[in-house]
Amino acid sequence: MNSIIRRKRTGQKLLFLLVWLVWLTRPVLPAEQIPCRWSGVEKIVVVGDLHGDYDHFVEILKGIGLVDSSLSWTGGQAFLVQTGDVLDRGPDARKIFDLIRKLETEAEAAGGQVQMLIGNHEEMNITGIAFDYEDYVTVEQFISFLPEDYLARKQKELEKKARRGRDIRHLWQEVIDFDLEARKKYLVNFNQKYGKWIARKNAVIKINDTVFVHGGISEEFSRWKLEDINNRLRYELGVFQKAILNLSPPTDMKLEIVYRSNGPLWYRELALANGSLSEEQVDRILNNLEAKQIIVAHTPRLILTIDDMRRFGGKIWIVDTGISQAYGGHMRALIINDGQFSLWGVNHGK
Amino acid sequence: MENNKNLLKTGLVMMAIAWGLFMAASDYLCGDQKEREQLENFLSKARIVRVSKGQAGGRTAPWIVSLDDGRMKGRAIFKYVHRPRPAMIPDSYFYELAAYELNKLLDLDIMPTVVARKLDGRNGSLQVMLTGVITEAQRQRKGLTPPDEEAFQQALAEVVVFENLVYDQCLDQDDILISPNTWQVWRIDFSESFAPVPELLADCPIRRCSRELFNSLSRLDPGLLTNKVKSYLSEQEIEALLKRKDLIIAAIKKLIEEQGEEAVLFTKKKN
Repeated sequence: MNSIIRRKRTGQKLLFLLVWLVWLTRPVLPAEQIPCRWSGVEKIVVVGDLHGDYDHFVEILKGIGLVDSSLSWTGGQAFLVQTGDVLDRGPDARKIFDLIRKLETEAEAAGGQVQMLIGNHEEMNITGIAFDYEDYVTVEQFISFLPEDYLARKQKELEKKARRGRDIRHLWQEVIDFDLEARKKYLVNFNQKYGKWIARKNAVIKINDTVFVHGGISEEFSRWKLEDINNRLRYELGVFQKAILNLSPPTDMKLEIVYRSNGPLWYRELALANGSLSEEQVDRILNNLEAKQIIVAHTPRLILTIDDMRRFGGKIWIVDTGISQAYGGHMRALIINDGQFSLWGVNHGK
Repeated sequence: MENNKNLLKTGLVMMAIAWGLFMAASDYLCGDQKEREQLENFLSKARIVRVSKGQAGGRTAPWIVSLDDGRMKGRAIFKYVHRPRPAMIPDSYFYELAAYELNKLLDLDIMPTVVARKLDGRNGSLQVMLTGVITEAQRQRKGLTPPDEEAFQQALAEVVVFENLVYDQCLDQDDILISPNTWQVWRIDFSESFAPVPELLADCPIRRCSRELFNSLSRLDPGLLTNKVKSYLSEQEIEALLKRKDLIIAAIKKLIEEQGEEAVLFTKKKN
């Protein structure tokens, strides 16, 4: 009996090793060749900032018919664009990343695509600055990205303290706020398991004649090639990751994309109706990008009708509808079908 | 004899006028300083009525704070992010406070009053939130022209000198606030300033400067300056700041040599 179990275990180990070797030898594109332009795409579904709300993300995907009840891709050749900010403020970013990873493969096999863009909250977690802000990294998110052995040890330690009458959630919050070792564990594990994968995403993509970006494209960046923006961001994030993983010392590199207020992850002016941007400027930006419209997120907006998403006569579309419960839980998605824009979710959101 | 009497009369009249002007100027300066001190006091001690978090955009995610001291009510911006250098993404409310100390030392009036304060357990800077102002970007977009173009340009010229001193972005249109009524110009957001670079901004040439600011800079005692900012800046940051101060003075002197004093220095006009 024991020998059967032993043989079974050996067999399982070999199978695991084989799968791992195959995974290692999978074709991985060099970073500079990661595509960011597609044409001839019939259906595009755009989902804005998720901020850790896995349940709402799933509800949107099911509602639109991109996945079935077992969360397998049913979108065929459709493109799903998630415009970044999966992380922070909510509990379940890790579950969302895992689902997106799975759907990427399934969609590609069906001739479709899942494109998750890098948002400013992805940047803040990769670089570690998310900890400088109140309530960005939630207890659930923090725990979910800790290495398992460390989590078990820490959990035991805090449970001991909790038995003396302290609230365990409060204790975890103190760890997030003050425990530098725990933060380091989070950052290293997050970057190893997810950060490297995220850093191979794009900040800006173009599908047909539409540009998609988390924050926006300022006039300065509209003169950059999309590929250059993406490669520069990947380079800068890579430098941070090497420093966090102790592969190289921190540097004082000049940041061209990361944390730039007019950079693609932070720029808000396309979405703000504060009169600081003229239609002529928007036209110049579109002209430089050779695009008809730009889809932006990052700036939450209450969307009741499709007109609420539109600015500058449909040259700019805003898709940060506050999907996460942290922002009111308004489930919306923009669907572009054969060039026609429609809104999903008005009767589905809360 | 008659001539001497006339001379004495004229002298006395002139002295009276000079005294009057001096007193008026003192009143004015005291008024400004008094107002500033009152505001600092208000920001430091007024009761916190409400704190709105997550309402204001921006990379430092500041809070909007409503204050009331029983006589005055107002709103202020609270910044708590503190990532001083050598952080790879430096941004700190310390730099706001250091810039304000400089603004005061130089007798400039381009920064809204800001103080250090603790709120909800966090240390940060609390700055008067200006209302009824527009950004320079909005002004340009709306095509608004100042009633006194020269006074407006003079204000911008002072901003450029200050930006070189603190080593911050040059004339960022969203960081320049203008009152459409008085056309006073303010410069906000210095939380990324004071990079330890002993040079002037490459893309921000100084072309003019007020006599007042030039004199203040020339007279500025390095010891006093160091004392005022040492709580907020590192040694390297202070060293670079002192170097930039000297470079600004040298640059203005060179401009005066090349173009003449009248083309470079101006006496500030009030809007």
